[in-house]
Amino acid sequence: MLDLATALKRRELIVNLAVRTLKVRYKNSALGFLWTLINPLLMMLIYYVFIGIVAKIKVDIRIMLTGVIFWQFIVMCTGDAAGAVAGHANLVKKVYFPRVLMPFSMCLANLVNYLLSLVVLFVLIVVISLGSSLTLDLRWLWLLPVVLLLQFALVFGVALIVSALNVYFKDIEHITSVILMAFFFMSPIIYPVQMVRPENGTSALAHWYMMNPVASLATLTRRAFLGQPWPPEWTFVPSLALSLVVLAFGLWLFSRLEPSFADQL
Amino acid sequence: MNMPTNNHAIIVEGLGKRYRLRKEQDRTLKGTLLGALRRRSVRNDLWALKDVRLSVRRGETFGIIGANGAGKSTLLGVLAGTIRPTEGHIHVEGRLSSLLELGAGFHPDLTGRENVYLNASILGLPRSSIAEKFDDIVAFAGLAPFIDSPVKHYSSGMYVRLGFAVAVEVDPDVLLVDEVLAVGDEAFKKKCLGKMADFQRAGKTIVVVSHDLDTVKKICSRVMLLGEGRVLELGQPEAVVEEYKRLGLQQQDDVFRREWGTRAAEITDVQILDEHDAPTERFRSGRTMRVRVRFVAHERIEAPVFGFSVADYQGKLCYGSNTGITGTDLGPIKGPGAIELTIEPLNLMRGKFFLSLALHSRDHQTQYHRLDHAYTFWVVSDTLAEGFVELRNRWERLDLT
Repeated sequence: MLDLATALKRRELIVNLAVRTLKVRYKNSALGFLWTLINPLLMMLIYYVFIGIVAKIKVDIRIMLTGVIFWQFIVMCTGDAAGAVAGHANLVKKVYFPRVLMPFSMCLANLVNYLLSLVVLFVLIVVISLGSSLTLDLRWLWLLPVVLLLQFALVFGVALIVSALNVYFKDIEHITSVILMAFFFMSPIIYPVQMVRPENGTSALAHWYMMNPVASLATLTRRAFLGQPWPPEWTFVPSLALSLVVLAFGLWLFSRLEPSFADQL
Repeated sequence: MNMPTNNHAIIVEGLGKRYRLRKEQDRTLKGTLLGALRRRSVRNDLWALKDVRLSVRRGETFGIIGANGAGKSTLLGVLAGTIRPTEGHIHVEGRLSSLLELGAGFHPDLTGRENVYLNASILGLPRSSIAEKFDDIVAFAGLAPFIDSPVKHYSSGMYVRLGFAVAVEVDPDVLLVDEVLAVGDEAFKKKCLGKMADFQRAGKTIVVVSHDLDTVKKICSRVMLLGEGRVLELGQPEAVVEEYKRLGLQQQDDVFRREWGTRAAEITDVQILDEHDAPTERFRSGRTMRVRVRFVAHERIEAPVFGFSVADYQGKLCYGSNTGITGTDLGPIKGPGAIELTIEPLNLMRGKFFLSLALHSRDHQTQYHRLDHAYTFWVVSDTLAEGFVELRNRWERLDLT
C-alpha cells in the first residue's frame, strides 16, 4: 500500500504544488478566480433557461446553484487529473518525490477553489432567500464538513485512478469526459432529488440511484445549505462508504503503477 | 551482497534495467486490449543497463562516460530514484540531490522567485532555509534583475543557471550531475566547477555524467565507461578516457554524418582552427573560425566549387554557401592542394554545431566529395540573448507621438 502518511509529511511541497496550480491557472486571466464562479453560473443560467422556460419545469434556483457549484469541483478534479502526472513528464523523470502528491496537491488546489465558491454560494443563497420570501434553512450546515471530507475522498480517489492510468493510456482522458457526463445526469445536479421518486415512475431505479456517491453527496450538500430533504433511499449510506472504497482502490492502483511512471512518460 | 560500509556513499550491485519497447499503437487502450486478446506479445526488450556494479566512496568524484544510449542517464535516474531498476540493489547513503535536469520543476508562467521556492521544496529544502539563502541563489545565478519575471522569458542559459543555483543549495551528501556543464556559457561553467570544487573540499560525493572528457579527467577521481548498458571499464580517469577514445565510442556525433560523391576529387584532411591558427573545437561567439581543407584531385577539374554549411545539433541548416555563390574563382585543380575557409565573425550564439564540406562541379551535376555533418564544434557566448545566431542590434527611444 502506498505510504501516504510519509508523503503527506511533506507539507511544504504539497502547499507549494497546490499554490502553483492555482497561480498558474489564474496568472494570465484578468478575472482570475472569478472564472470558477462565472463558469458554473453561466452553466446554471443555460440549464435554468432550458429546464425552467423551455421544458416548463419549476426549479428553485438555489437548488440548481448548489448542484452546479458542487459539480464544478468534481469536474475540475477529474478533468485536471488526466494531466496531473502525465503533464509533468519532466518532473517525474528527473526528480524524485512521492508522486502521489501530484494528484493530491491538484485536488487540494481545487478544494481551495471550491471552498471559496461555497462562500459565494452561501452569500447568494442568503441574498436570494431574503429577496424572494423563500425560506432560509441553515440548521443542517453542520453537515458540510462531513460531506466535504467524503467528497474530497471520492474526487481524490478518482483523480488517483485517472492520473495513474492516463500515464499508460492516453484515451483515459476521453473516457472520463463521457463518464462524467453520465454521472452529471445520474446525479441531482441540475434537478432536485425529489424528481427521482416513485410517484415519477422511477421507483425501481430510485433504490439504486442513491448507490451513486455523487448523488448522495449532492443531496447532502443541498441539505446542508438549504435544509432540503435527506436522500430518499437508505442506500445513500453504503454509497458514502463507496467513496472511501474508491479512495482505497485509487491509492492501491496508484502505488502499483507509480514505479514505472518514469519509464512510460 | 555487501553491507554498506561507512566509507561508501553509493553501492550498486547487479543492477539491470529493462525497457519494454511498446509500439505506438500500444499506447492506447484499444491497442493494449487487442494485443491482449490476440496474445500477441510483440515485445522488444531492451536492457538499458545490465550487470552494473559499482561503489562510490564517500567524498569521491565519480565520472560516468559513454556514447549516447550507453545507459548513463538511466543509471543516474536509478541512483536518483526516478527510475526503478528491473533487478539489482542500490544503496545510497545520505541525502541526495540531482542536477539531472536543471529547472525540471520550473513552470514557465511563474516568476524566477516563485520557481526558486517551488523547485527548492521539490528538492526537499525547507522554506525557511530557502528564504535565508534566496539572495545567494539569485546572486550565484546572476539573475537579480530578472528574478520577478516569468521564467518563460529566460534564455536556456538563465534557466539552467537558476536551476543549478537552487540545486546546489540543497546541500546534499551526494550530488548527481548530468551534462550540466554543456549548457551554460564559459563564465558560468567556471562558477559551476568552482562550486563543485567546494563540494569536493567539503567531502561530498559527486557523480558526474559528461561528454566533456577534459572536465571529467580534471575533476574525477575515478571514471566508469558504459557501453550498451554494461560497464566496459572502471578506473583511473586518464586510462578510461583513453580507452573510450580508442574504442571510438563517440559515435553520437555521427548520427547525421554522411559521406558520399564520385571521389574524382577528395577532401583528405580538415582542420578547424581559431584566429591564431590553433586547432580547436570551441569558439567564442563573434570571433574567427578557419577551416583548412586539404584535397586531392585525381583528374583535372576545370571549375571546382568548394562549399560549406553549418547546421545545429538537431541537423537543421543554419547557413550554407559555396565559392560559386560568392563568385570566388579558385582556378582548376589537379593533384593535391589546400584551401582555407574563413568565417569572420562567427555569428553563431551558443551550442554544438555540425560543419559540412562539399566539393562539386560548378553546375552541381557532379558531386565529387561530400562530407555532410562530418565535423562538430562548440560555440559559447556570454550574452543573455537567446537563439543560435547573433543579430547585431540596438534599441533607442524615439520621441514620436
